[in-house]
Amino acid sequence: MLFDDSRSFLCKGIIIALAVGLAARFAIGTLLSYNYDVFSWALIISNIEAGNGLYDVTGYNYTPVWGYILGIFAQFTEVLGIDVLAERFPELIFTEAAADPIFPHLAFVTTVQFNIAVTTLIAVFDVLTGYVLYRFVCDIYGDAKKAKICAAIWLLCPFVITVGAVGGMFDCISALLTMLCIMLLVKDHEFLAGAVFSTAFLLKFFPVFLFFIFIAYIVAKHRNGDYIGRMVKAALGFGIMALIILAPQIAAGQLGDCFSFITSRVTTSTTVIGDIEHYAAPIAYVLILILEIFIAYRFLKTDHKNLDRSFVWSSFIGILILFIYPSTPTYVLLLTPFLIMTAFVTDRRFRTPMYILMVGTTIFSLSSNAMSLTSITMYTDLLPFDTWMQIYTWFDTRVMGMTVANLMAYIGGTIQYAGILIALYHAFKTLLTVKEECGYNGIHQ
Amino acid sequence: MKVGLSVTIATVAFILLVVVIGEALILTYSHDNYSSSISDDGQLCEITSRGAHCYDVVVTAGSMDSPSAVYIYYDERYGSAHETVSVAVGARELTEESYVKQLVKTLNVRSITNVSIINAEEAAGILSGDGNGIALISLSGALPDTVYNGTSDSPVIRWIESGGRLYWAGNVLGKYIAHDNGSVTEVPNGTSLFLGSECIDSERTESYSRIDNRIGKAYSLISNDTRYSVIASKLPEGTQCLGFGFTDGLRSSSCIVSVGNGTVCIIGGDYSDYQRIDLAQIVASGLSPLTNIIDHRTGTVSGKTVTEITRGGSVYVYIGGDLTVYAELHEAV
Repeated sequence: MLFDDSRSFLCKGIIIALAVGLAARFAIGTLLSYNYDVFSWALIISNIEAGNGLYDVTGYNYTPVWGYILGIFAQFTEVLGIDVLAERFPELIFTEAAADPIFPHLAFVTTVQFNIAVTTLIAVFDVLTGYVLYRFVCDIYGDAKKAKICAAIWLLCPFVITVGAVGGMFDCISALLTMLCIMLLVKDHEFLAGAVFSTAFLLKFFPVFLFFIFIAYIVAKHRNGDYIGRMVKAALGFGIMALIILAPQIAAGQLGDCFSFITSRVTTSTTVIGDIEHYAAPIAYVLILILEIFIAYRFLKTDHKNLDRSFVWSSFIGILILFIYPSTPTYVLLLTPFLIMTAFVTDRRFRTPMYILMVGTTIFSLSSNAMSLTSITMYTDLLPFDTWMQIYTWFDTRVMGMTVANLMAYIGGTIQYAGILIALYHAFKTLLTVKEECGYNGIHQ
Repeated sequence: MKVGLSVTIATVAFILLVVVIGEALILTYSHDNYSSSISDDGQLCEITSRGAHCYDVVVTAGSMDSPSAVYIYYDERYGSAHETVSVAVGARELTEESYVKQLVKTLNVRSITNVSIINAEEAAGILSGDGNGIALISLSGALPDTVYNGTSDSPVIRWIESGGRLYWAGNVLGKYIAHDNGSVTEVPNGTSLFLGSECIDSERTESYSRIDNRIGKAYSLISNDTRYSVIASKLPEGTQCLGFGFTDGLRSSSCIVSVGNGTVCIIGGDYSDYQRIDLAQIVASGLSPLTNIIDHRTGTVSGKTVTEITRGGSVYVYIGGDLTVYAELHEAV
């Protein structure tokens, strides 16, 4: 039997998932690397090493938490002897001019050693997320076997592998912190939950939308007790952690720079995608905010047979709603553990959208075309430049008015969004038809 | 349940610790983590670095010494003539103000610490003196009317001829005069006042090839934008000029021209981070129209290393390659 009910995380199924998942990550991370994203980490590390911190010069556009993780990572690259992080290759400059602004290219190419190091960093957090997912399911649903199945699916999920190994993106940490925050609230550790929520918010913005459902849970759980005191504790945890994280930026007068990733999206538009974001994103996020408040309100007003499970369900819906506004493959990682959990523990109808996402998001995340092969082309003999040019030319061939690479991205993105819509359909159907427990109607299988 | 709780808290503690340690580590990085020096006989170069990095040692003849002072002109009251540039979705806008601030930091990394940001009145004061060994950087695309009046008798031109070094980016050199009401006026044939001919246009071109004089590679110059750069073939005969970086066949991404006892260096293109990095590298390395590479050594340093070099030229040491984290110019021994 691959998965068992034992208390030990490691079983045959998990060991296989770990081995296969890690092998896939390292194989893909060695051969494919989307430089536009991974180069950003190299640039940020060099800015840090030059003594310019995160915001003194261009490079880092996020809130500071990921930059701090890169601060530790820089130590490892130095100790491991990775003396060159990236170089700019004149042979590839033509790709910068030729690229669609929606899918930009760079002539800067990260070294294979650096790509492997980034893959390792993300893999560590992927494994940790898998383990926390296991603990989460064990604690909330009390089913160790299903918990292990969920962890194995996370470890083997193709787009979790490609987003981390090819793009070097860190959204698995967002998912990890969000799960931890929910677990801490369930265990009445509001202060720590606030600190973790603050870290999640200052890693990437999206978990902040769960604020309302988190408050609703504290009120619902301690309706007859000290819910105000607990909210104060959560606020204190949030505030203190935010102060610790933002202290260098507050001292340097760079607080505004920390949030440029958010503010620049609604103030500047210089590309087609910028124009779309400029108008559509604020409208979509206002709608999302209203829905989040509605879900929290409904949670508060409903009688729950099992408050904790209902809270997890509502949190899942709260995250799912974020994707009403179509996203890149990376953001889907925040949803993934919750979707896996829902699909394989509580409601099997969500398996179909999960499988659709596995196809669509994986295609979407691999649509960076031949640019993902530049590291092995420029630094190894595995792929001669002429062959790379042939692959580039093929991806650049126009089909139905767009390049093969863009077509692949649009197909992947459309399939991904179809998966999200199906999941939203099931979620709202449950939400609007099941009167008890805010849509959670027990473990189905 | 107890086990679950302790594991949860241990995981939380681990992540929060990683974040806080990373935050603290970032604060420990500084220019002092790196150094370089040349032996008394000029034949050895010692380089130290915190952690593993690639290094380049470039020995040249004919380069200038480090500037005794670097001034960056920026006055928000006065008009400017640079174009607004696109940045990636989510990135901070690249304005003249943010460019100037970042340039100061980029120069500091290259051991240029005597940098001042000056307004139009301060520029007039500085440019009324001798320019020898002093660098003035202008990114506004228009010089203020306090130093440029559209004639060859302008203070800025006299200052360059006395030995000043003008580093220019953002638009066609000499084409615009900036005024304190925020406006700019156009000067017909303004480039000729500085360089003796109308050798600069604003055509957008693409340049994918490195100029074959080793300088671009040796100094890790990365910008390939040639807009607003000098068309060397249009310069008056006998003008000393060195183009380097990338070329579109007519222009080079950067070009430095002798003017009297001084120099004018044009860093081509509209605002970009690559342009900023190249500008800092060119100022810090002392590149001149007469620069000639006589030795170029590369390697890896982790802790301390010593490399042999050819004696006799000025030595520019930089660590980190295209992602430079430290640089310093050593005068010829």
